Amino acid sequence: MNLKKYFASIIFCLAITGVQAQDDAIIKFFSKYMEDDRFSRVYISPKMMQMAGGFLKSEGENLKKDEKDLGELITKVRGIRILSADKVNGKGFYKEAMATLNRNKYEDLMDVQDKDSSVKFMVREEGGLVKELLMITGSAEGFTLLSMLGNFTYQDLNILAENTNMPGMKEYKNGTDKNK
Amino acid sequence: MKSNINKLLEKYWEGETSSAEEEELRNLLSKAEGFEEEKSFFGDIKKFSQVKNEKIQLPRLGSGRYFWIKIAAVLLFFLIATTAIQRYQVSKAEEAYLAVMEAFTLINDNMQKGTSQLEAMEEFRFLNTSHDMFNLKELQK
Repeated sequence: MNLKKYFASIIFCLAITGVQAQDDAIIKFFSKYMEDDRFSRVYISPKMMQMAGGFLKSEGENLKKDEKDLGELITKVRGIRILSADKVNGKGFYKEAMATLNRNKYEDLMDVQDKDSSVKFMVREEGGLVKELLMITGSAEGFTLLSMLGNFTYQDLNILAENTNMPGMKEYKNGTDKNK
Repeated sequence: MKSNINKLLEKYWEGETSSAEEEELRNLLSKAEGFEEEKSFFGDIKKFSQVKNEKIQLPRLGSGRYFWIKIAAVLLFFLIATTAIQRYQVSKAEEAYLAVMEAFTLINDNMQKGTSQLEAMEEFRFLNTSHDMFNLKELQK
């Protein structure tokens, strides 16, 4: 009886570490370049996501449908990690990131390859829901790795693909254009 | 007389004297010479026993001239503090919102690259409802 319990606990531990290993590859890649000055790192915690959702709600009850959808999407996102670098050989980092990933766990969502740049979107699904959206871009000018964790559907991702009139996004784009 | 006083003092320090004996001790001490320390000790006790309870008057709450000004100042302080905290929280929430928007913009920009070149994104909306993709009625038209 005790032996059975012993084996059950070992299997349970292995199962947990197996699940964690999915995130580990990305975290490993993030941590590898954590101290590298060429990279900038952004981590949006679940608490920040909560605050962002709260801010959108506080903007008033007369939100448009797009804004409501966005608010709903924000509540489904658990956290976002971004690792980016300008003026580096992004193609090399792109290849390295792709090699680090456990490809069995991720499915390709979108792949855009041209002579100048590579963009890949991948998803990790569990129980019919997207648990992670991974975006890797690499070009001669830069590299970006973005990992968005949460529980969302493909319809939710469609909001990100199509909706260019997100509240605040226009202002943000204008702001970044001015900075350029 | 001295021996009497000494006996009574000894008994007194032992805490075994009656109030009559203590009265007698005080009388004897007042008449005897010497015993200065004991005399001053009993004298002090007498002074203490003569102290009467006096009522201490505390200033009445609300009777002060600046009472209402004080209350108003405290309320104002809390109002300002609450407003400042709320504003801080809103600014933090806005910062968080802009950070999320920055990330979403990054995703959006890159997804737009795909949609503009491949027009594949149109299909994502149907991934959960695959039967809609093969709607024969629409195809026949």
